[in-house]
Amino acid sequence: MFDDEVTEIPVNMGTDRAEAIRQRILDAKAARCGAGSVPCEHWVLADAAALRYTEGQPWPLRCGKRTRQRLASLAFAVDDHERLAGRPVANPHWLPVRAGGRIPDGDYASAQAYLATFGPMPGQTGHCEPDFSIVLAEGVEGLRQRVRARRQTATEQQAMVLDSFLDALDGLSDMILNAATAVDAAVRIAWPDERRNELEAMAAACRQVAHGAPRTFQEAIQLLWFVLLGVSHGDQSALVVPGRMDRTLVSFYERDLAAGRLTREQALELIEALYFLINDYVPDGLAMAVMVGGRNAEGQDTTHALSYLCLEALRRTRLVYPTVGICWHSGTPKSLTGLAVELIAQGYATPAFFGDATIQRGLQSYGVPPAESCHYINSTCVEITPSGASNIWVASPYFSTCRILLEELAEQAGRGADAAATFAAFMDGYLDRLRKAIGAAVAEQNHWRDLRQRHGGKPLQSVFTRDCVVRARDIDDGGARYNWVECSFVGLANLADSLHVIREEVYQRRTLTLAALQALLAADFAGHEPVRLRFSNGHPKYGNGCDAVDELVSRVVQAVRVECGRHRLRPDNSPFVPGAFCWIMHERLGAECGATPDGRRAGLPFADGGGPAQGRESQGPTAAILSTTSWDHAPMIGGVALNLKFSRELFHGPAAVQRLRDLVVTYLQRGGFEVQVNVVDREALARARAHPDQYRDLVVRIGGYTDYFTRLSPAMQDEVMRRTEFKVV
Amino acid sequence: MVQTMTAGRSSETRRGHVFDIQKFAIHDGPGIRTTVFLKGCPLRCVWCHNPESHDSAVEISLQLAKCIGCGHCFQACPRQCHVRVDGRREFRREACVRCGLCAARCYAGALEVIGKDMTVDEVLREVLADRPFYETSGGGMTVSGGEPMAQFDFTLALVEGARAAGISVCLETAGVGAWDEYRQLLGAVDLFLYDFKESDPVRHLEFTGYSCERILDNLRRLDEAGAALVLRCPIIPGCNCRDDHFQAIAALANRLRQVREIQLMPYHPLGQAKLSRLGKEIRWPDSGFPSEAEVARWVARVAAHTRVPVRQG
Repeated sequence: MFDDEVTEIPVNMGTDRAEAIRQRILDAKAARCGAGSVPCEHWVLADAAALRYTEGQPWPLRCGKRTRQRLASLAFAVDDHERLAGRPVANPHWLPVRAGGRIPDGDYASAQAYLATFGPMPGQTGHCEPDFSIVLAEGVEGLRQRVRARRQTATEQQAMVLDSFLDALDGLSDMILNAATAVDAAVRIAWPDERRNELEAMAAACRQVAHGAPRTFQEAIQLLWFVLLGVSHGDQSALVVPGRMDRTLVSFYERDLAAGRLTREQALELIEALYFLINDYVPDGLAMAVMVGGRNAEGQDTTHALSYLCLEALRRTRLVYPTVGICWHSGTPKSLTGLAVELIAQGYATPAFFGDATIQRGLQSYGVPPAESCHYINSTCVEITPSGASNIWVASPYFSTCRILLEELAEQAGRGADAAATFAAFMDGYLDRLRKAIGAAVAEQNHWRDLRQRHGGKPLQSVFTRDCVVRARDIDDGGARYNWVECSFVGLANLADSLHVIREEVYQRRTLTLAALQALLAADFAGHEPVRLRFSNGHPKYGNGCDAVDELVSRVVQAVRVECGRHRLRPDNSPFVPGAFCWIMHERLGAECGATPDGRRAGLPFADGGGPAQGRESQGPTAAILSTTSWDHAPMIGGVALNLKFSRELFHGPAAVQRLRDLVVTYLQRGGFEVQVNVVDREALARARAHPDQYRDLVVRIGGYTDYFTRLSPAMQDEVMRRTEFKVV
Repeated sequence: MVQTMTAGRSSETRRGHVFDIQKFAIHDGPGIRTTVFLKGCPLRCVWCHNPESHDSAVEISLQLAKCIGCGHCFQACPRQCHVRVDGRREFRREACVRCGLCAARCYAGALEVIGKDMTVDEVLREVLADRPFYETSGGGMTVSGGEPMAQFDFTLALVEGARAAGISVCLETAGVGAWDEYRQLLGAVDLFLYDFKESDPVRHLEFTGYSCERILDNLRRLDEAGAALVLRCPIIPGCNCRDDHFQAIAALANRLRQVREIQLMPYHPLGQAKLSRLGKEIRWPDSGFPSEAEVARWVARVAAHTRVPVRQG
């Protein structure tokens, strides 16, 4: 229905303003070495204060006070250009002298020592889209009333938990009023009149949403930000994301547009303002997800004018956050896919494409009913979690599939004549070892879950996660509807390539024994470069349409799926859900892993997701896509990413850009989970490497993860440059 | 597998000389295509960027920069073509029979065999692997070269095989085949990418080693027969970068009825490195890439004289 809609927006309006904010953020981030705007010392002093004055009280109540204290102590600032309030800054009253604050360092040290007496709370936090539905309809006060209503039928224990929720909500209101106060201060010195009016409106919006329901698009997006910030800071939850903004904000947008209170350009500026706030607050090196498009529970396309605006907002912000995912299905308007591809072809790194049919099938296989499976988010990079109802620990843990292979090789080599006599026997041995690693990981995650249940408490996040209020249980106590753990298997392409070399060299051609192979790898191929090259270049590799190798990935994935399916997570018997996504772990785990039989030298990165290993795409992107979709991605809800990188000049002209869209669409039609495309030229990367100061804003995307190129380690920069540029001569 | 019978030989046994099969070709006709490059060409354009396509026979390419000095090729060659002279490796091409045994052992990728005899079915199998992409994008197969008409029987069988499998076919040709052969292709080729390199007959002969008369004649006849055409014209600095040439391109397109588009293809010097790898002589001074401004100027020049769409190819 939006195919014919003109999505062009005049880009000159607001451009200078956006550029000024953008530069301020880049400068500030550089000065902070990439850290977020609120120093982490803040938590120490606020936490210690709250826990000290609640000594002797029941733990849930202390958690509520702690969250409130954290939020009430946040200070805010606003500059000459910002369209939304709520940019937190360091508050010297809650910082030690050594971090630029006013609190004596000795007091800070004693607070730290005091906090160390509390139990550990390991495991993952955040990584979710909060449930915005009630707060946007009924306001913070509406949430409070719901909690109070639930309290009337609560047990004594439940009542304490609900009281902690109420405290957390009070903290949220306090925080919002702090932000309003900061705007007031700016109003007093504002010039010219238009800016003063704007600031007065911003302050009024804050005061409205501190307790009441938002009435306009501006108030709604302002409140959305306060919820993200409140949950992130108040409950120390990392990566709480905006999510499905083109659904959450639709009614406000339409109402305001119909009433003549809002133009598309103003809506765009407000979305940009949200993106700016996120970039300022969230430290570099993480991920923040927005997703647009997709289908509702009835299967109808939900693409909206706002979907386009969420993408358009990337043009002028051009920063690392957020990533905007296109939730693609066969009914997605061509114009939406087209806009995303156009941005990619221009070098914007963040739009990515998610295969809705594949992902919904996967979610349903883990028990999410069809009415809810349409409403999910890539909670950071590509790990999928149901929106508004999740306490899902993603990427917990990352398995180094190749390190496990080397362990198996070492053991087999030590057995001498008793080593596996056939490749099938070797494969069985490997898969057994992998299963044991999975079992051990589940035991560890369960132990952490127990510690969190005992020592944790996230009252504000609980309020924004279904069904914590209904169950009167904190999210750390299993109050969320979905409490899965998602793990990730790193290096599958290298594993398949290695297994294939073992099959060919050790068992078919018998050129060397397992023991000789093990010795060769242990020596990192020293003195045997021709052999390394034979392993590397003399055998087909995963991702080039060779069934014999591709099938090995399929086999390992199948074994992983079955084994993960045998395990359950506490506290509510939740599934252990596999994925094949890497974040930056293909580099880290690669650095820790010795040479592998695929010819990879010790310490080099592994493949970065579901596609072929770096530099091994000899047959081009279509073969990479066919291989990558030769196995079922749906069970891998923990995430599967395919990276494609093209040189900019390949997409000269609209017809060529269209081909990029066709390529992406074919991948998704074939059951692809997620794909992202980097369009850069090698020279640009080389220049960025030589002059990092001039290329602070060059964004690249690796394994579902977006970052500034200049922030990457030299090894990672090498890898980005090494990754094949598919180029048609 | 598609079975096509032509001239009494089946697609299982008919073999052609192929030097590359390029997937995700997005500049050789509509949609996402697979371009099959056939080996062997009667033209010798001095600027040729695919010199490995000249001979139909297999060739051995040596990239010294990739050589790691492992010595496998010394052992592999039955005729001692790879030798060490004064501490340097040397490749005595005069004794080489192009058996490829050396390249088979060269895992460093310094030695490569250029060219492979493949059956029609083998080629089609690779081409059809990408069918999902053709369906999404409206693409298909493009046969290029070298000169596909130099292996007419194979080209015909390939084109008919692809057509029988239901995918679109483009043929890139320099126009040097016999008219009767072009006539046989008419029903199976959806679009001819027709090269037009030089409008001055004397210069044409000088720079390509071939007369342009037959080329123009075949073009006229294809046009009369209603074949869809794209004119592909190289921009070669120091050779055809003249007003009169680019005006002649426009005039030619205006005389014809079936030209859908004119594509101007900027020269690139990648053929030079390939020549030295093949042990061949470089005959054309490297004039470098034409600048974007120069390309744009020639595109505008042609466009000013015709209503046929013109773009950089």
